[in-house]
Amino acid sequence: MLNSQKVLSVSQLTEYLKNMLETDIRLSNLWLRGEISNLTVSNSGHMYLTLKDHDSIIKSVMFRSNYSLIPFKINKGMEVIARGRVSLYAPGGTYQFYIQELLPQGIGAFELAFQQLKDALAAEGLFRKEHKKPIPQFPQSIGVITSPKGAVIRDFVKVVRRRFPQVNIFLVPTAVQGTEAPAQICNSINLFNNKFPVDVIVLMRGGGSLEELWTFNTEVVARAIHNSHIPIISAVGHETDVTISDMVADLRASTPSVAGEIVVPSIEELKDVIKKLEKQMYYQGQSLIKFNSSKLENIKKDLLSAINSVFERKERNLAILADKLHDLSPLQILKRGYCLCMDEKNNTIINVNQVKIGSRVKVILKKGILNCRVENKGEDLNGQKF
Amino acid sequence: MGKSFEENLQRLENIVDCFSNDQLSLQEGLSLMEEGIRLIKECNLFLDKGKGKLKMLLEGENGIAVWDAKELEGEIDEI
Repeated sequence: MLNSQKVLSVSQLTEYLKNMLETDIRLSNLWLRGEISNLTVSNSGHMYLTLKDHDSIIKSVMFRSNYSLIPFKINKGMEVIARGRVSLYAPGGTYQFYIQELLPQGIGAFELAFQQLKDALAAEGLFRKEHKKPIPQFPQSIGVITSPKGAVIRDFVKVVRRRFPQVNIFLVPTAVQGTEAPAQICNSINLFNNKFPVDVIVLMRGGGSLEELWTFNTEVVARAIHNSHIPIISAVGHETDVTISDMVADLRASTPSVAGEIVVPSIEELKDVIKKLEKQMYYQGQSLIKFNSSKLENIKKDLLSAINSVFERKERNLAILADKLHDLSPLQILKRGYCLCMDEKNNTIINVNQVKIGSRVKVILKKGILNCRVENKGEDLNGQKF
Repeated sequence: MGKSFEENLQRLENIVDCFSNDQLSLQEGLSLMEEGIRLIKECNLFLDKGKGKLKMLLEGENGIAVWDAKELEGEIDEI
């Protein structure tokens, strides 16, 4: 095609070069190591970048179909390994590296993506304590998001039924692995939030590799959990697997069975609590009655002693009065040699005018009575007329 | 059931606390006990209530379909 005599068009040369590049078997599929610089993503979703090392650069492109599969975020300066082919872009007059697969260097793609999303959401504050909604102590209904197949849901149901049989469990069968899974999980979370309210949601999946658990490390799932008005318990994988879902959720259970333990109280424990309260109440009630009856007893005693003391006081007063009366008794006066004079009608005579001469009077002495006749009357004890 | 189990249990705890007040009169104490006995009865009634529902939900064009999922109660058959 190419000969020195012939004048070629630019396109002809370009076509020739492109053909040369594309037919070289070594250039059609190779791994390339380099640092990313000049990174842009077009509106149509293709990524244009430059890979470089110390001395050289190569323009590169990754089309949307491949780029959209990368779980982690690509940044300038990142060291990567890329698989692709070399070809020529005629309108730009440049040879390019067409990337099909891109891996971070030194760390797995999923580990990197996990770290990146974790950092981004942490910076946004999604894992903060103040976002954690309290898990109800006694839920009446539990919404479960997981696959209806397999042992996970059955283990969970078994544990919940054993602890607290009366709770209602509503399962939305949801894919927990694969490309459909993130969107399905978001839908299920929204279903409970908007159309079928439950007291608490449990998001579950059994153990698996990081790739298999990937759904629970996606941003959409993290945000759906964060935006849920209903508290969510995340129980993904085994004890050692911690996913972004676990971190955003209001509570993490290390496994689905543990979620069953956490989400409902044990009926036996509750019965014990009630029994204890009952005992305490009866004990307190009884002691209240005892306290009050002893109070009554005391009041009775007080009342009796009060009455007694009133009696005693009155008695004492009476004795004093009796003494006084005794002192004032005429008999006491008679004792001292005075005597009492009365007429026949027993009127006490204190004035000579009360008697006439010749009338009879009684003179009462301390001992005995004198019956006398008045023979004479005088005026005054001190006067001369007596 | 008028109030939730949670509220009943809380009230019961509250009643027990009330007794620690020295000023509590016998009349008040007796009516608290009466209320407590009723709450205990209600709580136990709730705890002895039968098994709850186990249902599956599926959202379709005509709303949400709900059906029994008794099979989830048992052990898994195949390995």
